[in-house]
Amino acid sequence: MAASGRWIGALRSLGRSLGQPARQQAADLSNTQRRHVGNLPVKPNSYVEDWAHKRENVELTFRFDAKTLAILGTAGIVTPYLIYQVCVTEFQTKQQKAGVPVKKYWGRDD
Amino acid sequence: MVSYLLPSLILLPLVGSVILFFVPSSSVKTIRVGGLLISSATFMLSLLAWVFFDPSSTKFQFVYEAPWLGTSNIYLILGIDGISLFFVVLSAFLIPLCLLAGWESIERQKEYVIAFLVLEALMIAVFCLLDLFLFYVFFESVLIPMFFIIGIFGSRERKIRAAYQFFLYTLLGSVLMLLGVLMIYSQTGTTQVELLYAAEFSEMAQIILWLSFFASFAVKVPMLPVHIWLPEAHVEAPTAGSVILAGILLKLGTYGFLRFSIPLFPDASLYFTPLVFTMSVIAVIYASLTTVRQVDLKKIIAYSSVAHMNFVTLGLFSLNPLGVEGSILLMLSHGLVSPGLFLCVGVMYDRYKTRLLRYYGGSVHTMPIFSAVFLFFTMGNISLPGTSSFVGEFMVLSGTFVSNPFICFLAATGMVLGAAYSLWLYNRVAFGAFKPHFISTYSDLNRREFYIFVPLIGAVLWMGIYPEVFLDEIHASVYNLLENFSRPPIDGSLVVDGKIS
Repeated sequence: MAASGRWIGALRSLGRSLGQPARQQAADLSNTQRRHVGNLPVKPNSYVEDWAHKRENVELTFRFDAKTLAILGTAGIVTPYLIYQVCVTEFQTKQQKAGVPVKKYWGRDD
Repeated sequence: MVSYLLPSLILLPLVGSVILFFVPSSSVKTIRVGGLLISSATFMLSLLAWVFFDPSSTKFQFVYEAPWLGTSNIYLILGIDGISLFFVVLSAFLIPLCLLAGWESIERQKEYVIAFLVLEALMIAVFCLLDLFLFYVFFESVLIPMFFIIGIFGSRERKIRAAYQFFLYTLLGSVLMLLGVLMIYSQTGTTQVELLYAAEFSEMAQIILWLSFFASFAVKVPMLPVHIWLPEAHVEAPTAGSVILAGILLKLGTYGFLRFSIPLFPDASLYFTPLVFTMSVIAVIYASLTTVRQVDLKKIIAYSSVAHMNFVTLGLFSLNPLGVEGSILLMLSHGLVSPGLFLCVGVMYDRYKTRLLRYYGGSVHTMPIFSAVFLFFTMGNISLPGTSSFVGEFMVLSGTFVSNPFICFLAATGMVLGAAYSLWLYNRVAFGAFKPHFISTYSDLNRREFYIFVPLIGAVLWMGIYPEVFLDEIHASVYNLLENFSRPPIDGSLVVDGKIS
């Protein structure tokens, strides 16, 4: 049993050494280029696939905790609020400088 | 004769799709060539509209009127002005390219070609319709063929989820718009756009109506935080689906702002300008940062589309001619560059059936023509001077600066981030290490693929080098649109008797 296992291993390594290395195969464009579109081989890699799956399905790993809530509060509420307030102030300051009546804006009816 | 031009533009692809319906599914060649001929003929007709268009007139041209629900004062009125002209041409321009993109990779050619021809007719109708109610009907009906294109011809099992997400998001927003349309109809007794332009709504009515329209258009653009459907739909759609989604469907939202929200509710538009500015600038920065961390080629371009489309809303709500014209130009530019990038991703996907960035690298050695084309569209995405995006973004930023320098400053950081993610994307696909342990067989662009890119490249360069051709047609309509905002045009031109003096 063990002997047959060794034989199979030896045959596999022989096959690998006889086969053209992938890098060389890729470089030899005259042999590998095809003229038409088709299913060209991609060797899927489990690490790449898992990594992409994690990135694509963030909702599966996302957890509400103090850190994520703080980030959500800062990025989703505080930052937009500050940008909005500065934006309105900018508009109203310009109107005051130009001597035209100051317009009302949503949330700032002063 | 000329008044039948727009009905012909809508009917030609519709009649073509009916004819192709009766062709047996086994006659693949007949269906493909037939679809291509019909869509090419439609494009030629749209060019006729451009040729005969009078750029000095602020009025709608090629107007066609027919009773639809005459008793209820709802008429089928078609017409185009400088704002809608190029969207009609762009819709007709992209469909033949979409059919060519799916020439070999799509199996059910009959359904594919029919879906795209129907979609073309609906899109052209949306841009030509001058009745608010019918605009709403066609605006929504565009969802149906697109739902099938994503759900049937999409790439993975997830496509069903993406199709539903696309459908429900856009439909939910639009329900509020329908209520707005009904409110307008009950107050004015008409839904004809030209009559509504003369109508005046109270301040409160304007605010309510503006919000109801905003709910629908913001989802279509898409603005934050209702953008989630877009990357999902792009990733699952076939290449041609992504092309039309980025090229035309996103513009339906910004076109809606331009055609309805801004001219019908000018006071509310001013009232909500800071809100739109804030949402847009956050979207520009957020989408650009999100793009950097994506691993899927299509998601990268989808998020970059979100950033660019929010640049467009910035320009629109700057409410000055420079910003609005820049927005229209940027929309047209995005309608060329983004499809080009999606077609580039499609070239890779057709070969390897994966869009994961990690598998690719070093294509500049193995696919030189593809890499050159991809570089060109990447530069377009960055808004390199000489490409169409540069002119649009420059005008949008100038218009926004006139309106609000602080917002312009924040938006300009989006351009820097745009350059970062675009170059990073190109670097990882075209340069970098060879990855023969993932992909060892390569194939450069074939003739069909190459010729799909040629017209797109030509159009991007034309618009980038000599944008005046396009701006000439837009000027009068934009000045007319902004009349309600009592801001004189920057160069001091005056509109007299519907003509620019």
